[in-house]
Amino acid sequence: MDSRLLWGAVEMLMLEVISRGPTYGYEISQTVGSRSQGYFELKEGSLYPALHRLEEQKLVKTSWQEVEGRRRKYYELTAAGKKALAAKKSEWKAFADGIQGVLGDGGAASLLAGT
Amino acid sequence: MIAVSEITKDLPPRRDDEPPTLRQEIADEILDHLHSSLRRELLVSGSDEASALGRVLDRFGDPGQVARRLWRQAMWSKIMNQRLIVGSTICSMFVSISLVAMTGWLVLQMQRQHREQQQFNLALLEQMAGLMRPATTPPTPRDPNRNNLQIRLTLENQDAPPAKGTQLFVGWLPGIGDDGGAVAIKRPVSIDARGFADCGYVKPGKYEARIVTPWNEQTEVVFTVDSGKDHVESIAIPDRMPPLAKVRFRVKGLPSHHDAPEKVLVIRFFPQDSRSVAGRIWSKGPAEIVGTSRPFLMAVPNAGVWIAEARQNQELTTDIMSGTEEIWPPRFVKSAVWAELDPAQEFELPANRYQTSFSLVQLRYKTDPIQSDWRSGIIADEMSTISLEDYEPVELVAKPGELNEWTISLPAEVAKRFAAEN
Repeated sequence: MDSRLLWGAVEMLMLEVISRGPTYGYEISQTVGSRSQGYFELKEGSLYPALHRLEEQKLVKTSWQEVEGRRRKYYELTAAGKKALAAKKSEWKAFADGIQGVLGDGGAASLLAGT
Repeated sequence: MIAVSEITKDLPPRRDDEPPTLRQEIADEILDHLHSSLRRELLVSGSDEASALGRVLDRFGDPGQVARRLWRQAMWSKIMNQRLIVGSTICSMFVSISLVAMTGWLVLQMQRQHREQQQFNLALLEQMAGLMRPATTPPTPRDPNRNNLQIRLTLENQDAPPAKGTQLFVGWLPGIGDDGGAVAIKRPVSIDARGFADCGYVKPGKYEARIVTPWNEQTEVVFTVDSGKDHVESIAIPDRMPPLAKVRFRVKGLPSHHDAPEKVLVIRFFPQDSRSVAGRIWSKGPAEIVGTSRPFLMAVPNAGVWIAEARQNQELTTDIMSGTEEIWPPRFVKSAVWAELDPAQEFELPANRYQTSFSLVQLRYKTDPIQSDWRSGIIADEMSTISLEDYEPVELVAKPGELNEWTISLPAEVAKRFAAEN
């Protein structure tokens, strides 16, 4: 898959996971991997630059908490992040609908079958 | 586990305009991830710490590289501003010379970073295991903060090296007792023909060694390497495997019918006697389950009976009785669910006294939300814990040299609860 498309989708998925409540990097990486049925299995470390980018863009805010003697960084969606997520989901839906409109059900099945 | 300095030591020199907490925060976030991942990996795989750590780092990528990316990302605007000022000044005076110089610098930087990255990976793994590479000669000049650690394994009551196939894993034990989640990250150390294992030059502190015999008896030894002194730890190990006993099973008192094949009665056998060699307990299976061994699973689907021996790398490593979830490898459980016990089949168990326990479990197929390798893993939920206090425990003896016929009569209370749950 084109890496730009991939990372656009991954950022959206990360925002979606964060939107469900304060969470941290390891949990985000596991949830994205598992809920995508293993499709998005990235190097876990590569999520952190993306998370920090979201923080720089003020789409998420962060806080530190003490957990079992370690410091853990929690991410939470900001109001701007919620808007951005809604916009990305809307954009993705339009993209998916557009693809579906051209391929149709039979086209999609052929695509999946590799024909 | 890993020191902060290991994550940050290859970052560029500290800048005047750098936020004072930046490096610490980057390291804390990465360390938290690695710690969580390693704990999960150890819980799920049951493998040794070195293998688990390798898989964790494989999934994460190079922590030093991630740290550098995060640092550059955070400092990007400041670095770029500075570079633009410098670059435009040079370019205005010496355009062509500056372009050549920059290209050469970038190439050298890339080469240096590649070498440093490789060195960092190696140093990180060694630091986490708490050991340097084995060295036959001391570093010159001798580092006063490190001492040579050797472990000597001998057979019980003999001055002889251990049997071929004996494994040794050694790791630094961080703050034992200080941190409930402390884990000694062990790595394998080879044993020479004399029974010596040279662990190299290590820093003072507590260390933990796990020794595994070729027949999978294990023990763990904790010892201290004092500052300023080389250390030789001598450990006596069993000279042969415990005798085996042949056993045949039969279960009486089973309900005649039940409609839910996924709900099974699990009967487990816990060996009562562990071996003691030179004052150390040796158990079959994970050494932390001291005094017990891998339980043998016997479960009852549809009033049929089967038995499945917990095999190495597929054993049940957490206790169903405590209510925690277990993940059973699909191949193991499938053979258990659909196989029927042949009453004539004989099994070999280590000769011992066994005490039984009973529990009801629900088998269901579920994708493990955390460990994506077990896509078709089977999660066993504890449905009903039948306490050992509710009935007289059944004790069975497996004697060597004879065929032991075990007839297990299901206690009335257990049969009643089993029927009620179905």
